[in-house]
Amino acid sequence: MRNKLLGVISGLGLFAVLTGCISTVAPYDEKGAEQIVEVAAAVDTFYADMLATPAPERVYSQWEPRYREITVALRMLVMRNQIRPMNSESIAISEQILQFFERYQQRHKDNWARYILFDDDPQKLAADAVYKDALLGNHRQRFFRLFIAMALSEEAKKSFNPQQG
Amino acid sequence: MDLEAVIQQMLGAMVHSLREDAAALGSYGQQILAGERAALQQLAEQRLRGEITDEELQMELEDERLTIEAQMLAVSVMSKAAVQRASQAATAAFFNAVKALI
Repeated sequence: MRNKLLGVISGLGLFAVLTGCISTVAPYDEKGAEQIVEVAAAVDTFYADMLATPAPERVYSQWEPRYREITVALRMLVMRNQIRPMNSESIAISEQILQFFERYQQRHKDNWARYILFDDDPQKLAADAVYKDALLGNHRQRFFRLFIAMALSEEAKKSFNPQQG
Repeated sequence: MDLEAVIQQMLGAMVHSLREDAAALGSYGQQILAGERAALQQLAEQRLRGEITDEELQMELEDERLTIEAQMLAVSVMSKAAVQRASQAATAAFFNAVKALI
């Protein structure tokens, strides 16, 4: 009877240790969490500044340095996620943010090229169509929601805290 | 050693941990839905007011689809982490029960 009881307790302990020690998500990265907020702030400021600029002044070449700066920051975020094991979801979210940012930049560039065409060119775009206020607002809000998703994903990776549990 | 009490402590720790994480998950699920509803309503209104073209609407809708997919990935991480934390809570409860006997 005593042996049976010891066997059950040992089995229970082994189960608890194994399930408690097997990780299914990457460990929490405090610096990574801070980096997410920093890049999110840079993207949000970028869109706020662009919205505050009158449409005809949204000259692509003037915004290009900031596009480049933010693209680098986003690529570093992707890299930070890629070098951690069991982190496929955060990698995918950060890659999606980068893809959106690069695509919106390319569209801004293409539209600016069409805006500076001669007036009689059928491809010419109006100044307010280079990067429309409506789209700027949508994109700003979309990035905001995606950065929340990435920040919550990181926050969720915090281990069980016996003080809280 | 009261085996029944140990099991109850482990289960209690797991349930407590899962309950807290389930509340956070539910809250984020609501946030995703509210954000999506607002975004779609905004797009419809922008198209009706002529602020965006049909082509732009289509591109925006596709990006919304990708945005939801990305948000669902966050839900997936939160769920996996919740299960992992519940296991860690059960382990901690087991060790505490054994430690109390020593």
